[in-house]
Amino acid sequence: MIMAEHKPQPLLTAGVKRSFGRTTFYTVLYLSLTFASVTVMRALHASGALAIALALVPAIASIGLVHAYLLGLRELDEFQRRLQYEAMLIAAAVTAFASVAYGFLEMLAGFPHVSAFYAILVMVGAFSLAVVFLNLRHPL
Amino acid sequence: MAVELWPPSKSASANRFAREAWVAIGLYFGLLGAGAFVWWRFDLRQWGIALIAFATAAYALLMLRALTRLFSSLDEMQRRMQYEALLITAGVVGFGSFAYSFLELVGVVPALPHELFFILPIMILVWRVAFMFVARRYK
Repeated sequence: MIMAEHKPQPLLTAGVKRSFGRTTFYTVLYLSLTFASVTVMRALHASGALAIALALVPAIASIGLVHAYLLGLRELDEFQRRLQYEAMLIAAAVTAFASVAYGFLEMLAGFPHVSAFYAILVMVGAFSLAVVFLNLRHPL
Repeated sequence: MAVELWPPSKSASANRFAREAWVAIGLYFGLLGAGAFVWWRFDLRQWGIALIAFATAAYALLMLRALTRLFSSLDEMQRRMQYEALLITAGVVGFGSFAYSFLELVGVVPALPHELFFILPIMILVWRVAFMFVARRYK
């Protein structure tokens, strides 16, 4: 699955550092826009189209975040890129399974309602754990 | 370069993936059917239902294995396109569900009763659409 022979390159190349910078920028922007849109929504008691527009404002930063991560992936060496890809696949599978499994528990076993908001938290958490696990499994 | 859309067809690895995916899907529905029957026939406690729900994890594990094997068999370009599409899917579904919950919170959109069920089909759909866009870009 992962290449058996790998000649390690310095992990923090200029491109990777640049990518960290971009990712951090968009993460901060995303959080700031989310906070700002909640504040504006509450202050204006927004409803209808305005509320939808305000809720979608943070999406601008999320597009930037995905794009920055994509550019960052291209800066990584082949081995690290494959680790990231596999972690992504694991995170997607965990999120898909967890959402279906919890959906059943909610419907049949009377578990408390969980908002779809948690999907992103599960995805990010599973991705982080998968990156750590794969790096431990395939040390440089 | 001609780019083949998902799933890549007419190759040994594609056939193997199709086989493995069908086994996983069959197992999933089998477990689901058995679980629903047991739930309907017997008065299960919460832990019993939880056990059935988690048994469906077998599906996720088998699909994950099938996908990993398929992706390993793809050439570098194909693999890169699939993973880029997956990244876009994760972004769209992750941030989309966040935005939906946000709108739900302020009462703009209705609270869906079992919204978590929608995540898997939406992921599959978005992945497919994202792959078409990525493939077009690489053409």
